[in-house]
Amino acid sequence: MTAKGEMISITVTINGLPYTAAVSATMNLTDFIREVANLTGTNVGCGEGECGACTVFLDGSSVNSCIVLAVDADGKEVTTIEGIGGPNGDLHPVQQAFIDCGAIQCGFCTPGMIMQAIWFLKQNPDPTPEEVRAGLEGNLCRCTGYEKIVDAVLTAAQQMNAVETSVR
Amino acid sequence: METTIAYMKPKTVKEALKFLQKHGGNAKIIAGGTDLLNQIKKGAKTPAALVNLKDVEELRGIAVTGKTVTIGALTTLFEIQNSEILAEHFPVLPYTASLMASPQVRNVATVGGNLANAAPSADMAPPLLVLAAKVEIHGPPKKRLIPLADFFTGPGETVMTGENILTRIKIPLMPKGARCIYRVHTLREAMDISMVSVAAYIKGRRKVGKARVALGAVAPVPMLVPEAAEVLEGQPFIPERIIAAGVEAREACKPIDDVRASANYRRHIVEILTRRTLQEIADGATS
Repeated sequence: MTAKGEMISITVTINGLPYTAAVSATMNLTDFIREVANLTGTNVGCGEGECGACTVFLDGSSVNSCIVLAVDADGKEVTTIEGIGGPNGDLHPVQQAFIDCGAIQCGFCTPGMIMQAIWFLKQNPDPTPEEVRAGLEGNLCRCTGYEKIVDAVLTAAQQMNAVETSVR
Repeated sequence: METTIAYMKPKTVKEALKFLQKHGGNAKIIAGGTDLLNQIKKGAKTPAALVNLKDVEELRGIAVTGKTVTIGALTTLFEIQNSEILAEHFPVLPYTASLMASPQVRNVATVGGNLANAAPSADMAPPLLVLAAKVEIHGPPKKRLIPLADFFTGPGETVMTGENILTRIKIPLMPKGARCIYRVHTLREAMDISMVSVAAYIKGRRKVGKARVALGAVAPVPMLVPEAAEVLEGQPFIPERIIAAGVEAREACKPIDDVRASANYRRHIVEILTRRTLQEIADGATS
């Protein structure tokens, strides 16, 4: 229990590295990621959980980091867009598919789209276009380039499934 | 957002109650936080303290005991959506959860929060009302179990005080031959709040034994419509009775004009959606 006005010391592991800071009870996780860890790939769109631009993984679940308290990430693992590539800077297959399919216009929604697409493909590795749309229902693209985003997620699914089959 | 307020993350309901009592009702409970954080950001709520329930493990999970299914208040909408127990006993609940918000919000938002926030449009409420769910409340004057139908008192308001915690939802198993479904009327298919929603519970196929009809987003609180149930019960389950139930629902609702729809439009939709929902049950729908 903390007294009124006291800051709360938390440690959040982001992309494998621990970050410790004293924060207010009402600080949100996006601010912690951007201001404390200086990872600015996580964008703030609406700031109220409608647009998905701030999507990150919290202990493996996709969440809108703008409506999650930083204190709720204390002791937990956060993955941001900066943490999904390979060790040598290789792109994640979903990132590569977004490039290959031209699924990027202004790019602002892209980190959140890619994070949500990765989480969605873990739940549903072989989706229909309709299922992809439902899986990304919480991510808005104000350029409205949804067709190519859906194409990219389907392409990524195919490639990831092909790799999995060849490994077997 | 810079002002720091008192904060506590208890491990038990008992600890949480003590903290709430200490702050004399000026503390706010946070569970998923998907509504509360926005209210705090907008200045609509300015709690003196936050009590974060996320570590209270006893409030998680879904279990069947005897003839009752108990859902912990902290159970997320994602967990409701994917629960095998609920898929077996109340398929309407996973279906309802799947309609709500977005995957990212469903991963965090809780069923207890949806009820305790008491939005007139709270999607979990109408199906739980027609399933005759009860809610367990801890805190002064004492621990109690009340029908969900007696829980809501106004927009954003319930019978709970600032020193109470909604802990569990208890639902009696449906008898054989009973079906329950939920339908919403929205402009968009994603990230939308219902203009009108209807839940219906019917026992009996040719003839209606027990009936319950509930409406969302068309009154200060999610509401049961006993008048609609009355015109169905003991009667053959035929279009004439279904049409009559729609008229009763229209008479009973008390909608307002707002950004999503006018009151008149809502009344019109209540009648039609009630009729369609009941007809779907008559045609064999189960969720």
